Amino acid sequence: MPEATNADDADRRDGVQIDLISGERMNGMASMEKIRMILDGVHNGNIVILEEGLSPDEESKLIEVTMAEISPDEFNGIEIETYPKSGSSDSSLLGRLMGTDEAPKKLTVIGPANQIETLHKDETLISALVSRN
Amino acid sequence: MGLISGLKDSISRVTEGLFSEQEPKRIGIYGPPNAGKCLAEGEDVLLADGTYEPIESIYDRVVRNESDPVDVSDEPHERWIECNETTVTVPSVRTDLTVEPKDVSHVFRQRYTGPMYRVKTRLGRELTVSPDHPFISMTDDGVTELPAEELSEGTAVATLGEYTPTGANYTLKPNDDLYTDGGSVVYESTYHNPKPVTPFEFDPEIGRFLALTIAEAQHDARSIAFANDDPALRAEFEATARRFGIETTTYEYDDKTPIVKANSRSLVEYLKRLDCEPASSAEKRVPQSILLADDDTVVAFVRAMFDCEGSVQGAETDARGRYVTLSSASRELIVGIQILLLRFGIVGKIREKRHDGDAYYEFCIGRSDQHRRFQETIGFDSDAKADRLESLCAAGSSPNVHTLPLMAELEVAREALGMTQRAFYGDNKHVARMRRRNSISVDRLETMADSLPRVAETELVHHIADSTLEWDEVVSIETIDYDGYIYDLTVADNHTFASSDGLVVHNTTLANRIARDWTGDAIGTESHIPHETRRARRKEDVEIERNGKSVTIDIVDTPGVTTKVDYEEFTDEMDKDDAIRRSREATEGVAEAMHWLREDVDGVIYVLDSAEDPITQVNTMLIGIIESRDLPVLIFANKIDLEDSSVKRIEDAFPQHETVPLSAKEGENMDEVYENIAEYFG
Repeated sequence: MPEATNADDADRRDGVQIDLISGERMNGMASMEKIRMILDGVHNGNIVILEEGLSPDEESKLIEVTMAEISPDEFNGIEIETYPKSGSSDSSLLGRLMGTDEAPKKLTVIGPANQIETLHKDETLISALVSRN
Repeated sequence: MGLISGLKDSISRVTEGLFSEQEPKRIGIYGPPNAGKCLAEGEDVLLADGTYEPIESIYDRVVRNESDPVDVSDEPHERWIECNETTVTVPSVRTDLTVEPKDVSHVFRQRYTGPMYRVKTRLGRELTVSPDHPFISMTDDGVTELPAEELSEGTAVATLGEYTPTGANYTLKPNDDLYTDGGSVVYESTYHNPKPVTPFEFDPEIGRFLALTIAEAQHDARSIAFANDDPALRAEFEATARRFGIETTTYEYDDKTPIVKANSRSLVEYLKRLDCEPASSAEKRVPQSILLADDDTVVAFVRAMFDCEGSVQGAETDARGRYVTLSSASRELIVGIQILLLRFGIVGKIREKRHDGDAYYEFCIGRSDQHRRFQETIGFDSDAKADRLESLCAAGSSPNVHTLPLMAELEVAREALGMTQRAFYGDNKHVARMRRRNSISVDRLETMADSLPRVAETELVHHIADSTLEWDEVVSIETIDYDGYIYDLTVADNHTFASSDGLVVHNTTLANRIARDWTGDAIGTESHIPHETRRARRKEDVEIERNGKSVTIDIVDTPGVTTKVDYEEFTDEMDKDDAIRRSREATEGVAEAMHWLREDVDGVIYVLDSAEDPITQVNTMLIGIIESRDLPVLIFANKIDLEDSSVKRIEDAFPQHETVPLSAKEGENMDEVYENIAEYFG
């Protein structure tokens, strides 16, 4: 599969690269692989959009690894947005009773903290402003 | 029940309910970062020695002075520095409404973007604070700490009415431009041969000279030109200049105010050593040397100020419009005069006025008892003004008509004591109306205190009567957009301090972070939190006793969880290396918190601010993570004392979890909190 990410090209074009990653592509990856892919993209200044989001466990690892990679003058961390969970859905309760760890399957936007700003967010809409540098 | 012991009790019930086994269990305390209760940059704080200082300067002074600043904050965006080697003492109001000097234990600073409130009072006091910052107020419930956003027009707020400074020696400021020549000092000049001045001991005569200079002189880098129509004042200026060894020149023109000019660079430089700098009329202020001076010198200074710029109004008229006033283009100068007058229990109103488009300020002493006090302690040299003051004082009294909303409370006390209205209020007069309006004048309370017994029910009446506090009143609250640093102090024991113009406010306390406070406390009385608190902290084998049984738990207290940390937000206040170290600590703290959440905790207390929207990415994510691990979670909806608070909003956001409403600050709802906890986990 050709590598989507090429920061040099992005710089040359003076634009912002957006990677839309399908649920299918994510399903075949281990947790740390997903996190690596997301953070590599964000490090390069890309906006990463996940079709199906991350599991809670992966989210917690993403925060942990992000924290470890924050580096002065290079990387301030990430901005992440998903739709809020709509209350206590039966399925998640059932899922918990059944002991399955159900992923939220929700569109997730992740970008570099210094480049992306959430303007508005509600249960059905996420509006974000992305700057170039 | 004390807040902390109450919390311990509640949490021990939770832990008991959650874990009945004997082995220690780990409870993680999680939550998003907090916002503080703060003053805007530039707000002057009154210090115990009678001087004042901008709050950011106090903060900087502490940070500079501490050889190894200990930062007890667990949030990366704020600093909370312990005063270990630095002594900052402020006048502080006790719960019994008396005022005493107290040491500042911590200074606080936070970066903040959002609304701030500019609060103005009837006495012309002004203060800009964050929405959460509480004022000491008098409400239906008695003395209350009311956050700025809960104030409304008419709310009674406390201001200092009298204060005796702790006394401190003024140290002459260094001035490299002066050199000593025998007993004289001379301005160091390359081209000229300036006349020397002969300093003499700081005394009331210098006090008056500084006042004349500040009140009426054009004071620049080379000369001081005193302009006044009163020949006695001109002669006085001339005589004191001569005592310094400087001959003055008098200029008299037709139709103009005569001027006495001291043309001496050495004198100008020497006055700088007394903190009397050349200044335009809008920038004038009371020098530190005067703020720290003995009462005699202060009286001389204030009296000379009033001789020059003061006036007595309404001596001939009836009760209304009788004032002793002082005008200046500088509000800071007026505030300084008010600080000096606090020594004598004299309080004035600060009024902003306009003249030909320019703002100026008037200090206005309006109450008869204070006119008399002014006459007894300060007075005038000017015969004309002294005579007018005499007739003002002879004209009779206007009472302290300011009222407090205490009738409901007082009626409860009266009934508890089984007293008649006549006996309790000293008189039946107006009581029905006072009850209807729920208002009673401070004068009336003071009269009542003379005859009421000193028992628990009448404690508030006696406290108010004995107190030197003035009950001022909010007249406007303006919201302003703010982007910058905000500051606060933590004051030992009393948790109150005052602005330079006397408004009494409550300080930031660790109780704001209820869970963190509790963990700090639970470790023992030595609650000195280690330096590395931005790292997640573990406290192992914390033993909590309840009903004779003891529960052992490990507590994991984490910093506010975030997905980003920018060291540059700290570089203004520390060098780059420290900022990087600090941001590194913060990131490690969050990383550890995440790790422990997955690996190592058995239950979670999640603390949320009920005045904020709970549906944030971090909250949803964290609750999701906690749920996915099947950890028992208890949500503490804190700050229910705030107007914007909505517990329902939190319950709606996380309906699958028990939400416990509470106010750590007010101790509000705590009994219900314990019942809910016991019911839910019991």
